[in-house]
Amino acid sequence: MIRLRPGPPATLADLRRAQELAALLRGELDRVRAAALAWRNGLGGLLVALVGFSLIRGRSDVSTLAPGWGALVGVLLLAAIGAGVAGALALLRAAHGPLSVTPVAELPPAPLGEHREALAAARALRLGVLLVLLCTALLIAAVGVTWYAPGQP
Amino acid sequence: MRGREPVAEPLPYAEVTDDGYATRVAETFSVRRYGPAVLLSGDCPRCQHPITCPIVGEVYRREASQAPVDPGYRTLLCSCAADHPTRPDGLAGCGAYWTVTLEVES
Repeated sequence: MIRLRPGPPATLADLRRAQELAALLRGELDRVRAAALAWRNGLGGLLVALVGFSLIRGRSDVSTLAPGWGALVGVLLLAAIGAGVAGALALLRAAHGPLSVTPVAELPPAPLGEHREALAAARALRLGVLLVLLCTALLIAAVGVTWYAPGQP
Repeated sequence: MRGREPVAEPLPYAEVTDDGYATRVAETFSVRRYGPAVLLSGDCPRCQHPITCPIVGEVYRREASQAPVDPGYRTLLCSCAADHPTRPDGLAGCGAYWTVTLEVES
């Protein structure tokens, strides 16, 4: 149980801080959505550039790699695809909201409902960015192994 | 008491506080917890219009976060939807503000 008690005398600085917080809460969800869209577009461009780069340089046939190295490339690519798909879904979740519906009985009042969704979207955005960066690292590793691993004897 | 104004309709917007505001709010507001957030509901101690005050622990902002400073109390302000003359654009309520502390009892 939470009990309310009178606080110390309020100052003008307290008022300004409270007004700033109220303004932040009013536009919170819109800011998260806008940030998620920007990250989605930026990371999408990064991946497109990376894939384009990997297509025009170096060895591209894993069947020419020494035994074991081809399988490693396959594992790296599989992990990259998994991370990429999960990251894309998380970024879409952050930018456009969840696919699920909410039971009416669980709906919080308006100011807290949007705040709760904004925090969930921000968490999805952070997760999405991390997963897409992981996907990028795995793709680079796969391309690097394909280029520099020893070939068939 | 600071900046107290006579109650009249429509009450003009004025950024005022009063020691009695916090006392009245502490006695009359309902408190409901929604996960990590708390929602306080009741009538504004100045304009008497119904208001809800969300108490949250974190908020998303674009700028990098500064070092958090927790004063140990929360400042609440009137956020009623009623019209209060001379209210600046972008603000809500009648301008009344006060502070409260939240004590969790087991």
